[in-house]
Amino acid sequence: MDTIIAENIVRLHGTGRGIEGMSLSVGAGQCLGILGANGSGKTTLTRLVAGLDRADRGRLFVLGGPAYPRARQLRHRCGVALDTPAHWDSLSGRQNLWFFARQYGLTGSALSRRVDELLCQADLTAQADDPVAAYSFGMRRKLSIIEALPHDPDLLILDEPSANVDEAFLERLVQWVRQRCECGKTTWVADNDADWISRTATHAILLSNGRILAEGEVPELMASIGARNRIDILLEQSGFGSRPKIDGVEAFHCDRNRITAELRGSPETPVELVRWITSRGGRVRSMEVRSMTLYEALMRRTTQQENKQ
Amino acid sequence: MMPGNLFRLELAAAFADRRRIVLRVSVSVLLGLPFILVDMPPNVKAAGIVMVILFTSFFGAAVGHAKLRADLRFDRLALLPTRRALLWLDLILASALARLGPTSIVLAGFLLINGQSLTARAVVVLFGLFCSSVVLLTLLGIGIGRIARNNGEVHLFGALAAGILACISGVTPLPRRLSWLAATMAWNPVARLHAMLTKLATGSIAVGLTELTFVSLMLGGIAVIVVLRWISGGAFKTKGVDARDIVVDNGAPLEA
Repeated sequence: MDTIIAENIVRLHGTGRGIEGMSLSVGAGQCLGILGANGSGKTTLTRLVAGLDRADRGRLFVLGGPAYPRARQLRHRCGVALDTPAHWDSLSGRQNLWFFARQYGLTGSALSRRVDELLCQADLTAQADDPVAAYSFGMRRKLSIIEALPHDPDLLILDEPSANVDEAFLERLVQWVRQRCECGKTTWVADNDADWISRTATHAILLSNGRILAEGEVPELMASIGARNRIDILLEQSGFGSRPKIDGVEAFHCDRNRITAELRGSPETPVELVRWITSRGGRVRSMEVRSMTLYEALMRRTTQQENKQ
Repeated sequence: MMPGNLFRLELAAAFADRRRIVLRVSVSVLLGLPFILVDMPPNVKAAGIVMVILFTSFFGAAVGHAKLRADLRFDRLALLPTRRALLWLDLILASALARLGPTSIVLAGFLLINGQSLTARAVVVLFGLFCSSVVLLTLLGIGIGRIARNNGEVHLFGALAAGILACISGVTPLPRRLSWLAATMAWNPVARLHAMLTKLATGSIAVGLTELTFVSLMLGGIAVIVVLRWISGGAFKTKGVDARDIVVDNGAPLEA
């Protein structure tokens, strides 16, 4: 049975924004990455799945039971790290973590051991006995994330875990999530970092205005972009409107003095494109060639679906 | 102290910040000092002390709970598998205990000046009424903190509720139209506390056996619950774990 099942859920805020009729399912052993611009509904959806808010309409089940109000036994099987770290600031990181670990049923030497282990893995051992008030924002984020982990929950929900967190911890988080997937445990990650999501998640959805714009399995999405690159060129002047006819240049777009395009095939293609631009009188101020991200792969899939329709 | 439950966590947080402790105690003492030292009618003295207890317990709890909600710590508590009733109990008891300290200094000062007629029975009843008043006011304060959406609303609702509480507790004269509320004072520990402090300031105090028994039972009940919640928090200190025993994900000991 799927760990999370949402059927046409609606949750609108006073401003009229929120989630508008969304259906999805996340199976055991999957990690769903949720991408989307600010205000697209990532946090609203995450709060619904976490059991903090009730959907206005539709049905939402988590771990086989209603998401809200969530039974105590089901809360015991979940671990949640919200987007804003909230702690008892006058107490130390160890005391805060101890409290959460104890609430999830750890006692005795297992509790001490797990607390020390998590603090070590988050690289917070040296500051473990300092008050949280003295922590940087990134340290608070890390503490918040490890507070969701002591009991190795069946469902782990992370909202914006990559925000202000160091690379080493993010890499450790990737390893944790992969291990969880192998053990058949489910992870829900809402984040803005498409690159990190592509390394972490098994499945991804792209939200826009409270709806799912595109979805798919991450390996398949990444394979669909294959050896494609993206080029961003800044010109000295604006009004460069003509389109090139060069093999391997797709989705060419010029907005005033900014050109973006998708490139595939030969490594010579960017050079040919710049040569074409200069031959038309364009003067390049700067350019960047990079791999396409998961976000762009999802956007590409959206465009393809719209073209089919 | 290692906080194994919310009761201990809130108490540890309340006593971890020395500046906050000093501010709490000094503000309560400064507010209460005129009613202890300045010569004024007994009922005004008693009303002053009750108002200090009311403001400290009720407003403190209301503002504290609003802050708990505003910085999303309450959301985190709501996600825990702990029973809701225990969470609320821990919040109320810890908040009441944290406010009992500063107000008890004020009360002790009042007793030092006005407590010549104090008997052992009266001390037990007074302490029982004081404790139950603080717990009740904390409960009401947390209720206001739950209703209010932000700090501004807490102060608005809190001022209104404190006025009503003072009125129905006999601290201020009750309007004739609301005289029927006087019947509730018999069961209102704040009103009983006010009446007892007034009697104490006039120098005549007598405590019945029924009242002593009832208050002792109530006090005993609160004490038992406090002790049980403290014990349920588990070990007081973290047991030392040898770093060599801690194994990280790759199977290597921590020290390696």
